[in-house]
Amino acid sequence: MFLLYLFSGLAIGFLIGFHDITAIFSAVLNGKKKRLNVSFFLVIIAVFFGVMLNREGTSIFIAELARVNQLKVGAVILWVALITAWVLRKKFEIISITHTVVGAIFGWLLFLGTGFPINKFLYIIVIWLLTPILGFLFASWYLSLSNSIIRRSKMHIFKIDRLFQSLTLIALFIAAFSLGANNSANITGVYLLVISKLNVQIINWRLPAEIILFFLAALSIISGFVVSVFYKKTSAIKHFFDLAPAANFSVLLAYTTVFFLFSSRGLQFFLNYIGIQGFELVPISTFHVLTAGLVGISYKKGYSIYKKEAFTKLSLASILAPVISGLATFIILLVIQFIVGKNVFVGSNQSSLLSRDEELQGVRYLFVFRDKQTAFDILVVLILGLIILISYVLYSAMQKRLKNEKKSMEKQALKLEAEKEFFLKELKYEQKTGKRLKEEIHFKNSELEKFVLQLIEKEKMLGQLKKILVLLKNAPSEDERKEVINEINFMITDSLNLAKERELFYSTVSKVHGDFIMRLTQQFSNLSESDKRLIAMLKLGLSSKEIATLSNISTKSVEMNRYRLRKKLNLSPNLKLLDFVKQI
Amino acid sequence: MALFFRNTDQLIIDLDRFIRVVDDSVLVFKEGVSNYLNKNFDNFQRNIQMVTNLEDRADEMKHSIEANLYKNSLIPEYRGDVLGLIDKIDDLSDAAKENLYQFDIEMPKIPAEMQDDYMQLTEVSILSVNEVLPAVSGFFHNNGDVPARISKVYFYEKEVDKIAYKLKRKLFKEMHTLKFSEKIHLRYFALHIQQISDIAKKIADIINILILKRM
Repeated sequence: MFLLYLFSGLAIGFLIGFHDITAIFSAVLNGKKKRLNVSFFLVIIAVFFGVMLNREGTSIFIAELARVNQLKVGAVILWVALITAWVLRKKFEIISITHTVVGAIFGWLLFLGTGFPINKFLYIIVIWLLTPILGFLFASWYLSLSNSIIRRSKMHIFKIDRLFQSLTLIALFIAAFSLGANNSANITGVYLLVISKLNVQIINWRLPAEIILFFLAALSIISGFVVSVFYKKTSAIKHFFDLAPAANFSVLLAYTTVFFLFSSRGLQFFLNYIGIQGFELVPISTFHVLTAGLVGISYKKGYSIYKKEAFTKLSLASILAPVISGLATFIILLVIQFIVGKNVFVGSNQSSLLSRDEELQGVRYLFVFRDKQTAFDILVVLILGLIILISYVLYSAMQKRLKNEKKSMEKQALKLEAEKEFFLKELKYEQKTGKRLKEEIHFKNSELEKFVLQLIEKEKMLGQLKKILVLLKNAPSEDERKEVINEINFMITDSLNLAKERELFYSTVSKVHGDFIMRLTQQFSNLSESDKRLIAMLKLGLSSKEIATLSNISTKSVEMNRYRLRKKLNLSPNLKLLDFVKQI
Repeated sequence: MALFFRNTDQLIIDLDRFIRVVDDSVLVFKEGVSNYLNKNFDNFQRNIQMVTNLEDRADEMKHSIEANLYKNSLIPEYRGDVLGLIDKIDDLSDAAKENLYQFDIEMPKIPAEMQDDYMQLTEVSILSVNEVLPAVSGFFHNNGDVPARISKVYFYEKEVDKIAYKLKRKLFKEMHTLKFSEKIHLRYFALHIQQISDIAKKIADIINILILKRM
């Protein structure tokens, strides 16, 4: 009978293992096959010890809230919570078991009619609202810290990845421990008062029933987790950790921190010790903290990494689940009472319910002082606080330095930008000037070419004139002589401009090659006019043959003139005259 | 700590070596093009031999890195992207080898007036690689100004496009002495050289995505 009443609790434990534990386990799922087996066993061990060592943290709160005096009442509450969760999960995908269990307890309290615990109700609401906010803040803060450390450390991304994998494993262990400690209350809380004074005989060994209850709760959670992993039913919650290592770790660490806060009796004891009274350990929801963590990461990253539709569903479910569960419990209890009899749940004496307060105090006293774990918990809380404090100091310093660096870099970037703009303008101007100069040179070259050709033509004409004069000398008649003289006259008039054209030649050479003639005269004062002319023609790139035609001398004479020029200029035998002229 | 990072350290060394080998193969490619344009065919043949050896080494290293990434379960969240990145980096050495082989087999007749244009195209293409490989290294080592280098890669890639456009225009509008078939042939070589900067740009794209994912 005992196990039959417990069955609904164990089924709830199975669901917590199946969904909640698997959700945090998915932090190490993404392709990390190497450490998957280790992670799997670590989670099992952590859950077991979380449930067994911290068993009276949140369970006391639930027991105190529910004031259940019979196992069958606990069974009804948990059955309703279980069925509500199962039905709503079809509609909303993700449902918090904690919400349905607590909702069902409030339904039972409503049914009891001994006064609604408004303070406790408000306290739970505040904590349920506070935990996602904490998840959001911690996740975004941890991500900033991680990114800042990554930037500073200058570590290779493979090493960073390896480091975060290991850190995630440690965080997973603590997260599973805290989740076991926190959510075991959903299974055991409603039974605790009834069985707290019972002992169970196993062969010759007498054990407190409460130990057996928590042991079974741990087993049920673990079995749910094992079944989930073996049947790979992780697709619904896998997206929680489809993140980069730093973000992955940040969400899990945020989850761990929040769950540790609300499952550690050490912290509770510490807060009470320093005068903060009224801090109670309350079962909280895995999915709300995880989703808030994701929102925190999204906020830091500047873009959404969670499905908004899922977020809306989860928000709606968090309101509907406890309300529906509470109402369902209330109605079912009323119906059962109507069918079976008035005192089926409450008992014959109402005062017996009120005496539960004394029992509760007894249980609380027993739990608080029996467990030697408290000192260890305080130590953990202190270390965690110290780590957070040091991290915050480090983070602030880094942020400050980063800000300063960013400012100076921005200034430098602005300066560089201005410089770049200036250089680009200058480059454009230079390009424009270069293009114009190129066009000018091209134009002048063609002019020069034309002029040289004209000169050649004139020289040719003079050659012809010489031949005509021979004809004139040998002319037989007066008429023929007159005709030849007329022709000569015409040709001479035409070539009268030759001297002017030569002047023009020099000026054109100067135009093409700047103040070349002036430089030549300054450097070599011993040069004659004909030498200068030869050099100018060489500068224009004319061949010996062309120079000969222009100067009306033979090619051999040009060669001789070039030889003499070399002597005048004192050129070494290795240096070509043409190369020397180009250098002037 | 050293024991903790033992396998990771080896992988990091392998990855750095791989990047260096690819960098070398691209530099050999540049030297090869220069030798081809200057008609130093003996040196050009040596360049082909070198780039072949480097490409073989790059391939071997790539396979080893890929296997180790899986074996050590590293960066599972974006292993696909990193493998894609390594593949693309390897494409650089493949392209360098392929291009030199094409020069060797097809022996394009590049006119003297176009040699400078081809050399400029090659040099700017290589500049984009000179920026993208340090960007890759900077990304993995978490140091160096990766975004600035990526911007430079995009800039050089655009410059390569401009140079290639001018080159092709010159080829078809001004080189009247060349046959149409020769022009087409030369145009393909411009495209081949351009390919190097295109790969560099694709690598830059992958790094950009990876930076976003790692944030």
